[in-house]
Amino acid sequence: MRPAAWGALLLACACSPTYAQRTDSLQEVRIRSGRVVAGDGKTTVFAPGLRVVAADSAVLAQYRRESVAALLSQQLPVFVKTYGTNGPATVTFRGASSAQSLVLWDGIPLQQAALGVTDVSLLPVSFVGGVQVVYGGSAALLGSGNVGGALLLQSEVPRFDTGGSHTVELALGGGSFGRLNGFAGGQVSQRRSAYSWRLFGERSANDFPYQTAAGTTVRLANSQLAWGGLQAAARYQRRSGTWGTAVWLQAADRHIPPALFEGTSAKRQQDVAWRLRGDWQQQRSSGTWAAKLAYLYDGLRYDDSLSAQHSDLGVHKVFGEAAWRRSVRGWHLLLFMPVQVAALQRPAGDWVTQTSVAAAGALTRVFWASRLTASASLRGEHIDDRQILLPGVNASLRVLPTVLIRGNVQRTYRAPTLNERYYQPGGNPELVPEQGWNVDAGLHWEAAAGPWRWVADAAAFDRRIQNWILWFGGSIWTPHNIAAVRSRGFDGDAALYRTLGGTRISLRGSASYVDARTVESQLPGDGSVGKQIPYTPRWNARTGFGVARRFWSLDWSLAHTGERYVTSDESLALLPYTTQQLAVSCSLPARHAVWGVLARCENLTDVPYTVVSGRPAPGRSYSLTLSFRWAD
Amino acid sequence: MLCTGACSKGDGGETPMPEAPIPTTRRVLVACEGSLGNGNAALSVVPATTDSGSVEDAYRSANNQSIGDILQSITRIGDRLFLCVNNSDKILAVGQADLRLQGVIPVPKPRYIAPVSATRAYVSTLFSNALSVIDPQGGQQTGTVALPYKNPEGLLVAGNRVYVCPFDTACRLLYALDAATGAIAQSFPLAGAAPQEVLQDGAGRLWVLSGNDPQGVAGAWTCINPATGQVVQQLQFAQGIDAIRPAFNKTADTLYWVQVAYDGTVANNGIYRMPVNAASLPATPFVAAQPLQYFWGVGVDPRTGLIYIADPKGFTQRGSVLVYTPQGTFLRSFRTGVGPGHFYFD
Repeated sequence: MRPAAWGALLLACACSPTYAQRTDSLQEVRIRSGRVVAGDGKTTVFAPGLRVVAADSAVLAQYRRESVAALLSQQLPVFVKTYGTNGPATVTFRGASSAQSLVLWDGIPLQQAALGVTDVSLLPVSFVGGVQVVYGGSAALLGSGNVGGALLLQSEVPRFDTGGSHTVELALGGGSFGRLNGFAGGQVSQRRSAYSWRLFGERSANDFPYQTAAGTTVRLANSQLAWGGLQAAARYQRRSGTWGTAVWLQAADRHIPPALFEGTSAKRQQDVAWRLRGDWQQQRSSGTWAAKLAYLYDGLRYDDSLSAQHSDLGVHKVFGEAAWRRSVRGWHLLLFMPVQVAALQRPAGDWVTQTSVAAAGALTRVFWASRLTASASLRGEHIDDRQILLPGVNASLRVLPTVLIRGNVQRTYRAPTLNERYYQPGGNPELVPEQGWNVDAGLHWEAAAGPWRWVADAAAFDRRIQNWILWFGGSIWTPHNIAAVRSRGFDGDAALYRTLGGTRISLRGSASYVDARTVESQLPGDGSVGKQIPYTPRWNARTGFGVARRFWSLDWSLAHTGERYVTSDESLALLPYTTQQLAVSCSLPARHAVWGVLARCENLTDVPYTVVSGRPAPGRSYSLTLSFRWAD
Repeated sequence: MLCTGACSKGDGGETPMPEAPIPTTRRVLVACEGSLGNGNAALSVVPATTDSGSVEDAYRSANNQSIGDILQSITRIGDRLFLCVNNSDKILAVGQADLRLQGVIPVPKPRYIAPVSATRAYVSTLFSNALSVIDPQGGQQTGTVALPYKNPEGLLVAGNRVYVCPFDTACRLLYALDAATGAIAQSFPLAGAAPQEVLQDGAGRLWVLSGNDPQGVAGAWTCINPATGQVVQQLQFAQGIDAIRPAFNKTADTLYWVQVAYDGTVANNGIYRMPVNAASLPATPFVAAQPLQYFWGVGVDPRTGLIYIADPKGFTQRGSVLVYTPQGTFLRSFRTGVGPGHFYFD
């Protein structure tokens, strides 16, 4: 591939416009519906052996007024642990913990450095252009926390337009339980510069009815939500390269309702996030050079007037990365150096920091007329006073024109968070990283016959993590490296497409089975050995059916989440639950504009369920969104 | 249809806790707190002489519902047991023999109950500077008693007095209230701040355990002659020792308590005991915790003298209770609900 193509590849979406993809490790630029989505290139070129699943444009459009948590929990067979209405939501992949499931925004880790997790309920889909899940470990490429998998959020990048163009997008919606939301966005594209901006706001009462433990029906109290955000980006093309900058600011005010076992609640949590990013890249004869620098601030304030509890947490993080790529005669080389510094001020007033510096590289070679792609990667990282080396190899082989097999072996790890090491009281500065090996293998089959097209992808995995960190305590809580966990299982998805005249029909399904058990423990008399780790359902399944014709589309989906244990010795479990969703949309084109209507029904059959113990989930609810998009 | 969507599952191959009929006499009741925020508190019941026929969650067996979040204490008043469910803001009144629910008294964050009559009892509460007053017979809260400090914790009824420990790092006093009216009648200075619990020995003296090690307040024992108000003995713990949950033996001449260490080490970690006439604190434990282990409660069966020790196993799984003789010989253990903390010998 010529060096000039790397620039486009950097900005490429790694997805084809279908639900499951990744047929070819060297994807070309993809532009969907006039949108360009940022890509990092690492997983597309240097991880041919990994299973990558992306939400397609139709799914993203359906969830554009929702959070990433809703999209993941309803459309992908992953478990999103939602701590009730207005509570945080974290995602886990393949039996990993939330802290072992990395979330990246254009290659920048979003994990809150103190808690080590990302609240995906505070990530609006309207602020991202692409959502991908990379299953399995690719720690050499993506860094600490990529144990079970990684969630890649890709911005919609302002695109250049030699003729000049403008777009404006507006949306207004409302729904059950006092929900009201609005969105505005726009883009100005010129030959050498482009700008985009987005604003959203939402409030909701969330006062849905539910049954108490006593059997009476009441409305959820202390459940108000208000959140909003601003995102802006700019790109410039100069002789010195392509420069980009982005700002993402948002705030949320969430009242936490009482759990089923609580009489009342006055809990309230306020979150603030600032995300500032600058990036640069330039193609030269010596290769493609790129750099990015980001500053992230996560603020959290928690109040409970009934118990006089109050906490303020503010975490700062600076992330920078310099990279160089070069391709010569079927060889592709990537060298990059990420640096991250996180800082937290403790209640006593002192500051604690965590610094990680890494040097990493990956080499990919294409053989046999592009049928075999093999890649090796290595990362050496220095985190405060510890060092770790992370090798990995992966490959894909096209055994038939329509069938690809792949495999991946990667050493993986997760560094302890600031809270785990320095929280007062109870932090444990002696903690070592959780680490182990991840192996997975898979198959991808994609074919077409006449008006039919189908895609199927499946993978099996096996992973063992030593020094698993667990918190325990009483008056205070302290984390310890006390266990080893082995996670095994499989996941897969399939989709069938049929075009019938002017009607496009799709049928899709996905499932995962995860057996994640504690295999060793240093806790005396530990009853968790041999048992499934908490809040890790063995079974997850999703299915859906879609019809689109001219201006109309209808999509029905079903999400099943299996039994999950509350305790580590399987002594208490939560029942499985199945919910259904229905979305109907209409897009009417007018001159230079498109008018849209989207109607959604969540929990179509009004099933009562809880995701986490004691937190009732809403029953059937409706929403309606009117949208307008204009482009010249 | 309940929205909770939770079910209990037994395990296989572990120390068995079959759902046997609930023992009704000569039994040990264990208040299992559960894991905070999960609503999985439990009331475990075992026969006093053996672990066969134990019931891991006797309340659920009797009432087909869970207790709630954080079962803190069990108090007998008349022919009923009153269960303080701390984070569910309620006190459950159940039959003493069958444990069937007979009433619910809403009380904010209840901890311990001190009954003074069939119609009057004081309830200590978290996060407030007041005791709640309830009518156990009528099944309702009837008032509050304001205190100068927050977090009233341990209570003791002796004669016509109710002794109150405000677990407040600014407090270095034990309060004595008039049992009939709740008025503060007297206060006693203590050797340390943050009084937790008050017990009475066989000679009628009061023993107050104080301290809040996580907040940097060192622990202490203070022995008080309530008739004269004189401090008879005071023993200071070294900084870094977290002493909690005291209990007397059946002759009330030997104190037992828990020293907790969450850092995974064994130093100052286990069950300690001390005769009331000791001149200094014990240097070695009666039962030592193993690495990464810590205990959460100790009780002494007043009938047999056997010592019961609660091991919460991190509050993430079912706990265990270890039974020892007064000579320190291990007898048996049995599995309980999550977070065993307090014992009631019935």
